Amino acid sequence: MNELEQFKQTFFEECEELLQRFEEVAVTLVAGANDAEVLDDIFRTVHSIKAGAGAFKFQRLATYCHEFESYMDLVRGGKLQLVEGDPDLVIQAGDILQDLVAAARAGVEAQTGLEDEILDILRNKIGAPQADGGEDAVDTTDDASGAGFAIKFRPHRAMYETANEPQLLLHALASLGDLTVSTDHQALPELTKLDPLEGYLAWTIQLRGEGISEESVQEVFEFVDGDCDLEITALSADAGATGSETAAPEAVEQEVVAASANSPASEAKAVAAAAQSTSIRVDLERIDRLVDMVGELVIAQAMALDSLSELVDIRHVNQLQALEDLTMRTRQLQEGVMAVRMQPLKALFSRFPRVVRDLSKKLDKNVRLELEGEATEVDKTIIEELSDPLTHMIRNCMDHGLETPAERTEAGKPEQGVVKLSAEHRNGRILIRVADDGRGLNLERVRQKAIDNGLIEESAELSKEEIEALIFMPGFSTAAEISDVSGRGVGMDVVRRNIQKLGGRVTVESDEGRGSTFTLALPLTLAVLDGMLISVAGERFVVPLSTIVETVCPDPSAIRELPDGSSVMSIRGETIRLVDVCGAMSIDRSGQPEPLRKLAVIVETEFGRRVGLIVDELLGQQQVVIKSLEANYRSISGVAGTAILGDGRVRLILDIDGLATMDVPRADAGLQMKSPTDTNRVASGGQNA
Amino acid sequence: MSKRVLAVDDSKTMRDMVAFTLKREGFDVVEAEDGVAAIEASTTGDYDLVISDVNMPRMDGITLVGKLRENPKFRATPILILTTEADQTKKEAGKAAGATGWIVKPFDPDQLVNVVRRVCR
Repeated sequence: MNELEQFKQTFFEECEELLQRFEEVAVTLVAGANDAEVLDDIFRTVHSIKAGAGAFKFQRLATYCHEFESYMDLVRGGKLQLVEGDPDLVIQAGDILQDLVAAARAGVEAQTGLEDEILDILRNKIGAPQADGGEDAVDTTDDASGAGFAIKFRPHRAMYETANEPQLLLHALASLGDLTVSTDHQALPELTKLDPLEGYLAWTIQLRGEGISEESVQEVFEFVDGDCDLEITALSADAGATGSETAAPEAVEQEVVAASANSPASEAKAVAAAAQSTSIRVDLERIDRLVDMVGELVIAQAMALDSLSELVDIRHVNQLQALEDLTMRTRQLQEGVMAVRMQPLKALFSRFPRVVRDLSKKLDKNVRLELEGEATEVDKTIIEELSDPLTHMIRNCMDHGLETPAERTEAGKPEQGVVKLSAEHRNGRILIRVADDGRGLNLERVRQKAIDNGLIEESAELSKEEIEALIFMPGFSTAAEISDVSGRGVGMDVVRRNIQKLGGRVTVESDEGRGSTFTLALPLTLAVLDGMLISVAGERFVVPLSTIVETVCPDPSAIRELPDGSSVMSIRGETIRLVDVCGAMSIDRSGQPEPLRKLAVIVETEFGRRVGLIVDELLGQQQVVIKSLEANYRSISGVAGTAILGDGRVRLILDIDGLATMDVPRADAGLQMKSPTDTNRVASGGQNA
Repeated sequence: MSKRVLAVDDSKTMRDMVAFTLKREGFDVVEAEDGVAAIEASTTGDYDLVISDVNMPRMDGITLVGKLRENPKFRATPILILTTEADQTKKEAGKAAGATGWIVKPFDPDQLVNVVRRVCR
């Protein structure tokens, strides 16, 4: 069924959501308890996947779901109790379900093995070892080769109550062969006594044609079986009756009663289930296009504002007012569009109960995970990129931060350790914290380790914060023995690098014996950047605000030239390298006046290294829409991207890490830039591409 | 004027498939993601046909059928439930609640159209 292909994507996206929900609720299953809501949720997940799998002919997936569903149905119906080990079985079965879905999505055969094992266990529990319960035993009514059927049909009131229409059934019959219908209206009362809801009419039908099967005739009456008197008689060529079919209303009715008594009245629970907001699914690409277009609009609006700002004149008060209004609306539109990309962190956070559950078993530690602020919304791309770092941090907390139950008891703490994951918005950034109530960082040990690894000098005098920050240094590992849980050496430095790639920062605060708190501060979105506009020899650049630590106006005596031509500056006892942006960007300063006193913008690189950027002037903070230089032109060392500012000019966003590792000054380093017009041409040419 | 169908299913895949198939047949399709949403939709719009899944959060399909039937506006509206082949009890429960008929999942577009034609003018 090729036309169904187009729905496969939706199906798999839906599976993803369902399985995620599964993960979320399955870990709350407890042996002996019967949380109807959770059981319903799990059942529905499996049920929905099964339906899709059937539609797309993923046979193996469908079969697996069928057994899993049957099991869950018995459990939620109270016919099976969850005994010790069953919650784990459900979780494992969910894992395999995930594998099978992934295999179906990739169009490959999943590895067998555990799948069969789980299926066996499930079937055992169900008590019905036979495989597929799928196809109902269909009446093996032989194809009537006769001339057709004689049908007597008298609807009951019940048939009309379910909105079935005799006329439509007759139409359906007519599609099978030639129809002769006579209506029996003898039961019809006088008009005054007529009950419009009652059935008074009956029909005698002759259906004639070659090769009509009795099955197809029965199918027409499928829905009204039991709600009418029905007699189907095959007509042989000589009109002799060879069989008859009479519906048995009583028998069906009994079944109905039994069925409704059995069906779990889960309505109350269902209503109580978390209210789902109505939503639509939109291709990410479309949203990105929208974000792009709004970005252009913001630029166009800023340009309009810039060029009309000289109209400070009473005669133009209306125009200026209108422009102001436009500015406000544009900003609102931009915020609105950005909000579309925002997603609650819940989707991400919901993975961690499982991680913590599995890991506490493995580590033999008793750990409770507390989640807070799951509704906090963050850009989708950032959410995706946060998964690994957060997982690593949580593992780290559990492995190194939290003590064993025995150690905790000895320290006078409750046996159960707590890892708390929380999120909140603050100052236009998002803060995510991973906190534990474990042993905290042993500052002396951290310091010793850093000395051993040659990260700091033996004589270095470091503050508490500085020592804590050492754990983010590449190659640093505090665990005395390396465990397979939080990995070998690839530790917090990788986390830090990933977070910095997102324009964020990670810090740790620790209280020895009482626990540590890791804080991630991230931008809300990657599409816009808070920048500091600087100028150098008449050229303007954007420095990402998140990298700036401070800005100083250095005393010339504090700057020293090194033999290799570079210079350093000492600030509060620390020596930092200086990068002259003018030289690094190969700007020709001739004709440009030297500022009286240059400024040093102290920035911090991904690796925590600080460098001072020598600039002429700080022009102010500005939010800019990021345009990739690589995508539009080519990658240039020292440049992270571009932004179009209100004056319509393309400005380069400085790549702090690139600059910090550049050999400066060198004529061929960075972009060859002779004049401002040249800059403009290069970058805007790329923009049009 | 084309007929309006209310398609109720918590699975977007199923809703999409129903909508795609019926739109091609000239129906207008309105989607609802569960019984509660369907009830909301039923108060604001008129429909010539309702197709509903059985297992849904908040309000299941059987309850939905019963509630719709209580509404005079829907007394004569055909309502089909979407059910899996093994669910004989669901068909019966649906019918007891007032469902006109059922569509067995998984279905292909032709089957769906066939069934719809049997209950909707």
